[in-house]
Amino acid sequence: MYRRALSWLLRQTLKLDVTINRVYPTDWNPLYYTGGLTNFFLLVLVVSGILLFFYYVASLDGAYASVAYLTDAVPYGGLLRGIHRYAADAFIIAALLHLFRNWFTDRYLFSRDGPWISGMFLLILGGFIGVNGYQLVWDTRAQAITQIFVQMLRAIPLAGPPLAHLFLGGPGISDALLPRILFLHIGTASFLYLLLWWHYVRLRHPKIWPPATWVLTTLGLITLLAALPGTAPVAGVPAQPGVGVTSYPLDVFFLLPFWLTNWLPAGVVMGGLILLFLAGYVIPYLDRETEPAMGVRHAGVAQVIDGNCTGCELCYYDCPYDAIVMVPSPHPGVTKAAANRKLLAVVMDSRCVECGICVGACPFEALELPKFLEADLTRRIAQAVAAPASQTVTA
Amino acid sequence: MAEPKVVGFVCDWAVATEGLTDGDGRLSAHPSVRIVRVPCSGFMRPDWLEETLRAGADGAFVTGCPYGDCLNREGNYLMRDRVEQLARRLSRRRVEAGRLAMLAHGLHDRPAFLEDVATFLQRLAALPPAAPSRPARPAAPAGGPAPAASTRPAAPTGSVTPSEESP
Amino acid sequence: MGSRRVSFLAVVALAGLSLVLAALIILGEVLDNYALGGGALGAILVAYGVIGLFLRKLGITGPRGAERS
Repeated sequence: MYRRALSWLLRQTLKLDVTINRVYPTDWNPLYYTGGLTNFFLLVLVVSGILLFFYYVASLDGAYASVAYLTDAVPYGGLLRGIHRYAADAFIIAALLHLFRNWFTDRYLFSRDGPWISGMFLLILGGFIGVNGYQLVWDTRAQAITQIFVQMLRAIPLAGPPLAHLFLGGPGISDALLPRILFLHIGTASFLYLLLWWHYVRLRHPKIWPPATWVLTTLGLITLLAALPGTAPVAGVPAQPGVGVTSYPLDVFFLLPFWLTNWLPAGVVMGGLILLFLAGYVIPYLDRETEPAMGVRHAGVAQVIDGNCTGCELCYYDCPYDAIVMVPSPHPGVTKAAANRKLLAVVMDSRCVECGICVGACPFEALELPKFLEADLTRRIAQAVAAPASQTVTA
Repeated sequence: MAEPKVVGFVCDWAVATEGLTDGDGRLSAHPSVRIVRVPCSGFMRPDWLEETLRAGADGAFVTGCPYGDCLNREGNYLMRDRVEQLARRLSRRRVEAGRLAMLAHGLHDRPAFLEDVATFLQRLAALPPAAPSRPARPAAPAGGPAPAASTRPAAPTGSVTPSEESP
Repeated sequence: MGSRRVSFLAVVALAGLSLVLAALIILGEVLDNYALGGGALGAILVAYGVIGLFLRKLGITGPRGAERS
């Protein structure tokens, strides 16, 4: 059931690609750059966030006034705020597209699970940073979501109340709150880059930057949304302690859980979120024992044929997963070409995805996929060339 | 005249050929084309393409995923470069570069794939027929790049350049 | 040849539009109308992005000509 749904989703994803590729050249297909776009939006967020930081005052009395001053009195301050807000939305959209695309196209299985797990951390922390950003403004919406978030925290058994105490910096909302949130906002955002290192660590050429046309178009759309009267951020109502908030504008990309608390107890929403993310961590391991869809072979981790390796580093440069390391050769190779080698290629099993790109890179026949040998292929070539096609004469 | 005999190497993750081929991997639309599935387009060693031509095929193509969407990130770009290099090397030996092609089609891009194959066949048909009897590759000495000048009867005169870059 | 012509005309039209938008950015700056300036800035970036696409279709930019586009 799960696998059939996934293969249906795979088919739809790739059909969508075919459609997009009619309009855009294939290497400009935005869906091939969801990760790069996410990274680009993160950079936009960092740059605009640093500029916003210069104006922000992290106190219950000063926060709203500082944001209002920035929005109304500083030239292009409102635009800057809007860019920060819509870049955050774009970040989450791109990250979710990235997640679903890689899920549906089977790019998370087997030795590709590292990026998936780090990606789940990135997604959770990204969402958390977004919520913090809405709290920093300290208008009525910030007040409401802070209350709901504290309720959600308290609903966690055992660890909940101390966590809520830690988050608030005391038993209730006090001046200790906003500096904490500011640190959580900026500190966690910096931590994202550490996680990104984990996300990229075994990719030889991570696609961290989208094509120019998409940089310009998305940045333009973000700026446009930030400037247009209907969508530009407006100053809300300043928070008033002790007054219950009944309604506030909703950002569906970050505040959806808070919206759900209209109908569900905060504890249930928190439990649902935790379950959702736990399920996210389990996804790569659900299908482990079965053949992935599309009847894909398991060719086996590439093996270096020691005697043939000349230490030329061609496979090392071509491996897209940095799975091949060159080590000082412990002994000379067997063949003439390998007799004077200085280096020897070694495959790191945990990084190998069994694609065989190194086999194609090696002119010395020093690499093999154990379950799809050169002999298998040459036999098939010989068959294909020798057998007469039904309607043709043999050459 | 007979359709040119072609071997196509198709990545497992690229265009799905189930239903397009018979049991032996012949394309039903072009029975002279035989499909061999490989784990990734980047798996193809240029030697093997050369060997395919030498064994008597009129042409060979490799099909990978659309550029930018390789499951293994770079297999199709790498293979495109290798095919280009091999075509350059072969043309120095008077083997037409047009006998090799790199195609890129996603899993559900079958119409475009068949179109490209048909174009490739037309291109081959326009070429002069391949040298009638190319001897099979002699037992390759272990190691060393593609075997040397002795296996190049297609070149009419001796203007071959033995120096060649590794793929 | 038809699609080349369409692409070429699109580039010319978008470049003209960008010129107008650049004037609007300056106008917004003169009038201290930040919404106008910001909106024109966003629109000009979108226009440049689309110009990039059409330049690619014309074969002026892009990594290689070998690709199917």
